[in-house]
Amino acid sequence: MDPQQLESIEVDLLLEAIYRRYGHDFRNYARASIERRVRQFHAQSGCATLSDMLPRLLHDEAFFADFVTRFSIPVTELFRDPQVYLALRNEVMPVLRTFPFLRIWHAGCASGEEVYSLAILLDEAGLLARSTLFATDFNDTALERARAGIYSAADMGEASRAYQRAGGARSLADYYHADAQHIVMKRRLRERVTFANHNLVTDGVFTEAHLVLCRNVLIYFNQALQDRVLGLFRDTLVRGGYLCLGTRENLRFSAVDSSFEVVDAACRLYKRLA
Amino acid sequence: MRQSGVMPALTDNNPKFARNPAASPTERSGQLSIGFYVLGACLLIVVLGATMSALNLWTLRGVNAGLTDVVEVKAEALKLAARLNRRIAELRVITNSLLLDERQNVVDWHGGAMHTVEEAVGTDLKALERLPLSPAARRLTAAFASAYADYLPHLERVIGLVRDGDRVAAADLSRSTLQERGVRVQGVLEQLVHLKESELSAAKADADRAYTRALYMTLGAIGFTLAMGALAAFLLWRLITRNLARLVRVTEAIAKGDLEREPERLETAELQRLAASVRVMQHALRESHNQTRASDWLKTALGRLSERMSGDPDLATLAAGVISEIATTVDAAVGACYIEDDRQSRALRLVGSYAYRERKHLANRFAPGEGLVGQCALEHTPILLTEVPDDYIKISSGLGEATPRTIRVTPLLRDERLVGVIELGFVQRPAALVLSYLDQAMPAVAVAVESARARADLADALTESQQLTEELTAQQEELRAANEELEEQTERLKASEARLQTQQEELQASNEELEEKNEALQRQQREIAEANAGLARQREALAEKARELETASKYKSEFLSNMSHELRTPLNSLLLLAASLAENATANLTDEQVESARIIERSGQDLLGLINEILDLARIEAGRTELKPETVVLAEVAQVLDDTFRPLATDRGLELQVGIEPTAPEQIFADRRRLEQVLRNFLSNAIKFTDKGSVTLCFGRPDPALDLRRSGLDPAATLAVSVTDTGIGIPAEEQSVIFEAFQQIDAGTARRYGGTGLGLSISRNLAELMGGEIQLSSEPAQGSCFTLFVPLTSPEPATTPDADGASRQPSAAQAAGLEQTMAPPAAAPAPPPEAAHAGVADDRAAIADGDTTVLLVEDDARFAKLLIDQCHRRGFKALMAGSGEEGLRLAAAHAPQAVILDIRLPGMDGWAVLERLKDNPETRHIPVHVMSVDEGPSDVLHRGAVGFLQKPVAREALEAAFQRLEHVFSRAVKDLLVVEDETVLRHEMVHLMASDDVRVAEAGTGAEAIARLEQQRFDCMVLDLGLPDMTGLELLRRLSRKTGIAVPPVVVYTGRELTREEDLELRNYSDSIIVKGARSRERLLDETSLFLHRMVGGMPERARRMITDLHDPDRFFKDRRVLLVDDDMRNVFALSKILEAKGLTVVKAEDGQHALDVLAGEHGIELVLMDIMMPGMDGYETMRRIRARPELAHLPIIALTAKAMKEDNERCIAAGADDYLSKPVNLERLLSMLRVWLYR
Repeated sequence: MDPQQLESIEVDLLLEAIYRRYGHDFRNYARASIERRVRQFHAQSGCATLSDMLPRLLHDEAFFADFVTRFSIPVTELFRDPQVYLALRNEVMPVLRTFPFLRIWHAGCASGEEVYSLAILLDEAGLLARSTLFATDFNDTALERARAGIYSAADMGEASRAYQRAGGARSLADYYHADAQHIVMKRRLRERVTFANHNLVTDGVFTEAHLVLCRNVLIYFNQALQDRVLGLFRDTLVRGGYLCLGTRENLRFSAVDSSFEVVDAACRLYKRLA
Repeated sequence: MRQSGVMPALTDNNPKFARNPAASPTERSGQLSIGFYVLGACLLIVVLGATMSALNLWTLRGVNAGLTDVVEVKAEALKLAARLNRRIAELRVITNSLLLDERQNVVDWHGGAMHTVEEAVGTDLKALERLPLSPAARRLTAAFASAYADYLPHLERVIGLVRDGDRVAAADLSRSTLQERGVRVQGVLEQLVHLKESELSAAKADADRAYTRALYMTLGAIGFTLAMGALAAFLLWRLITRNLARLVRVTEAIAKGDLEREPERLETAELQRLAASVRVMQHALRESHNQTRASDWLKTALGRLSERMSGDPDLATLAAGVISEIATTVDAAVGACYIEDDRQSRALRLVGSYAYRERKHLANRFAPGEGLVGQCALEHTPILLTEVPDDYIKISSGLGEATPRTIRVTPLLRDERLVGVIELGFVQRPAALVLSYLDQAMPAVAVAVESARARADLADALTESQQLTEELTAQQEELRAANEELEEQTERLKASEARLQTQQEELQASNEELEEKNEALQRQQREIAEANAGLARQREALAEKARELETASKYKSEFLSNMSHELRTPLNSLLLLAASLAENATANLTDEQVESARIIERSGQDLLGLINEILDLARIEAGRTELKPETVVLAEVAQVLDDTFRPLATDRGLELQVGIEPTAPEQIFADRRRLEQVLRNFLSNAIKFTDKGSVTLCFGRPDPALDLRRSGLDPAATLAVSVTDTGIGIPAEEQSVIFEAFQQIDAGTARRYGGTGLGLSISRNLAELMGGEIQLSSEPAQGSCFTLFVPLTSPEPATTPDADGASRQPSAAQAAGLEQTMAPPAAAPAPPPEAAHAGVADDRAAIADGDTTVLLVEDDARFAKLLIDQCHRRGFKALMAGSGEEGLRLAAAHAPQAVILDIRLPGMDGWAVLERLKDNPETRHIPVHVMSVDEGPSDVLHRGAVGFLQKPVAREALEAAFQRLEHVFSRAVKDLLVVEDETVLRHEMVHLMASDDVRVAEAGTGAEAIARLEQQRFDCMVLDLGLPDMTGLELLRRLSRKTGIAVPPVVVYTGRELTREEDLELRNYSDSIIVKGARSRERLLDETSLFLHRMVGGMPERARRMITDLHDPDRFFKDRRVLLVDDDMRNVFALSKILEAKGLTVVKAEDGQHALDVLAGEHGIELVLMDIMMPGMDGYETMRRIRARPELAHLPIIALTAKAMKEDNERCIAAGADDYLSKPVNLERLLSMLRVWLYR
């Protein structure tokens, strides 16, 4: 048996163990990605082989917590991919305005920058008052950070530029308080967002939403899991609700393909058909 | 730690030092120099000495004079005298000798001697005479002289004599005169000598006296001189020594290092000057000492400072350390260190402070130029602010507060570049040394700050680069994952491409096959046409016959119909009167009479029923019954029938079962009334003809193998409704007979079982009319099963061959009563047939009723010809118009089924034509296909066209357009009601939504809307909330209370914002709420088309699926109260509908707070269904709060959670839930849980 196959078996065992012990289901994540991550983690774990990590994962909760953090590396920033926010602003917000009350779900919010970006968009469209935003992630640490809404001030320059490119007419500084090192998002944005722990792999639909964002999460899942998650989104969305995926993800060939029509292919915006 | 005292006197408070130390004016004047004193003393001594000497000299002189006198005079005299004496004596001797000695030689000698002596005496005498003798002496001398003179001659004589030899004479003479004279001379001389001796003694005594005197004087003088000299010397010594001592003390002190000591007052000018110099020197020393100390201090302080700054501290520590060090070093009471924070704005931020208590409105950021700090930063020079106002800043300690008097702001410059600013507050004015220290410390601090900043920047850069690296890694990861995703998708794409390719090939193959088949078909068609011709002839003959039969039957039915009408009129009065009699309003009838009246009424009713049935049948046979197909929900039909017949069945002791099979669709498209009529007929027959057992009504699907030839139905698209009974059954030979009108199995049946025997006949006709059929299976004495087969979707009202054109008009008025008037043929008088368009023949003259007509509005003759051919190929008749106006005229006149409209027309252009067509209610519903050489506008559909083609038109596109038209013809038309009070807006909406298959009715008020809804059934309603006579909500409430009105799915279209309560209530009636705005028309179209064309029926799919078992009312749940807490409205309504259907009363709460309020306010809640994920207070928190109330500690709570992991479920339990359910909620589980937890 060649080492590749051996490794594959080991990874399977690890994931199975994790699932049984902690209930976190990584078994349907995209294979190559998972293996890479496991290998990386292994490299800095100090264990000889992959299988050596197994007893530690099972018995040492801190070790596992470390492992989990690996799997939700949050690459996120305010107004990431500004053209997508521009598209949201121009194409989605006007339609959302026709609903009396809005619910928006951001799945996989990591440290929350993109949720706040969305809140800013809603505010500028005058829709914030009637919106309830849910932001979920399965990583509690990231949720805490997101809830606090505190980010590094050094990143604000870049964020401001992104905000401008996303069609912002005001100044990004209107939305946060700053001191020398950090900025904190203003309360009127933070209080509209409910941060909660929700695992796309295992959990179900919890609300009915008019807009669902899930960016750069699906690429880590295999097709079966993607179908499940997309099914969740489809069930969550109201008739005519919008789904926004990451710029390298799309719905084609998924099980829910026929339930959506494309609003903006480049920005990965879809509309739920009736 | 404060090091006081080490610092040199930094404050220039000592007034002494303010003065020029060299000047001591009050002391200078009157001071005599030492020289003077010394000179004075010496002079004194000299003078004294001189005096003394003079005195001495004088005394000496006196003595000298005396002595001289003595010597020169007195002693001389004496000497002379003595000499003279001697001489005389000598002479005497000589004389004597001569006298005695006769020796000649002696005589000669003596003579000579005498001579000499005489001479000597003479000389001496002269000498003596010359002398200043005293008078006495002079007299004596004179005496002598005389005496001598007297003597001498005698002597001479004597001598003479002797010589001569007369010695004896000589002797004698001598003895005589000479001796005496001689004695006298000698006596005088002796006197003289005595005188002189006495004079000498006197002189000596004088001299002695003078000497004594001189001695005493000299002694005195000496003493005096000594004394004076001593005194002077002493004074001088003392003066000098004392002052010198003072000076020495001072210099010693200076030497020892005590520079403070003032030289004591000195008394001489030189010393004074010396003192002054000493003071100057002292001062200079002090200065230099101070300077040294200052520079030492400075060095130490700077050294300490640089030590403090060493070790690479971070900026904050550095600033704090620096300011603390500086403040303590310079004795500042309060200090603050500002560092340049932002390189762009060059603002300064407070980084470190010393004893600085922040005050709220004091900024700790300054831009250049802002405040003293900013100004200093701008100017790069220090600023000293004295006379600081009291409230500027407080120096506070635990014990109190003070205000600094001076503020100094120092810039930190590095190579002309500003790095920061240090501000210090002093209680007293800072000394120059402080300022110098500050200025000197500045560069070092600036350097340190710069390097700290540089280090910080470096550290930041490092962190950043680490972060970036991490981010990069993550992004790389993402990219890789995305790449893999893309690769996978590419694979899938390729696979599907391959599939498509194969499909394409297959299609091509099948295309070719089809072509071949086509040709074969065409051949066949020709053959068939020939056969058809023959058949046609035969059919003609048959048709003749049939027509005759029909006519006969028709006359029959007409007769019946007229008769019935004649019969019904008197019957009406009979019934009314009988009824009123039976009421016995005046109470003057006996019971028997009332009974009779009732019997009359009943009989009348029966008669009426019979007449109605006859009429019905007649009508059907006459072909004047029109079907009105609509969406029929089978469950409703079942329910209605159940409600109607259950009592009847129970009365007869029969069991009635009503069921819908799972394979049955939920709804069908058919004429509800007729369907029910047939089923009612079946059921009443079944009940009538069954004495014991059961009657079962079942909705389902037919066996796919079933033969439905008679109606031509496809079993897959058919609904089968069967009524099975356990009655008397029907023998086989009779089975066809019973469907014949007027016949029952035997004459006796009617009498025993009642009924006119018409029912089944009517049912059969109705079934046929609906496009279906009835099948019967029965065994005598076992029972019968009547099954009605109807298509799932009824076709458009099929008109029987003899129907008039009136039935084609879709907007015919409703039949109000039991009769339908025959509409006159062709609604409007046909205009005189116009000459057809030049060169192009159309069919306007050849349109027969029942033809499908297409109106072509096209000015291009050739294209028009093409279009006409297309129409003909499909069996349509074509109407040709060369201009817009002509087109409109033709449309109004002929009411075509479709319009193909060119845009480029002479005169009125195509868009105008379209608008006019859509505006006209008569032509609004006609589908219009638009064509143009130009690209069409984007809202071509919204303008009312059903399609758009761009010329030149490809054949496929044209074919597709026609196909679409065909498709559209066969579609059913839907009815939409728009309720909106604003006229312009309403018209706009009507315009927007009217199309080929949507008829739009309008209502401007609530009352109007209700009226409309009572009149007619609608497929969808668009409702504005703001109506003049009632709110939209009020309208909905009223509608829901009215029975007999089918409330269609509602799309709420409102201009204002809704409150949550309104939203909640509206959700009862509609889940489609649109707020008017820029994109609302789009949504409006979407939502209405959804309802109109997809037949959703007002409830979301999930909810509908959940309504499964209606036939198991769980009596256990009746009137139990349950609280449902969920923010997901969809879920709430779905669940509550189910639970309410079960008999539960559901109280809804939208969030945790509301739930708590409800529980506090209402009592009687027996169970709580709690959603977990809610905004604001989540489910866990709400449950905890509920459990916190003692009275609610035992309230059953079931948690509904979207989360599926075990620990989440444990959390639910931990928070107080009694059980949990995962979403999506399994209905059975929920119900069983409810049963468990409500079982108390």
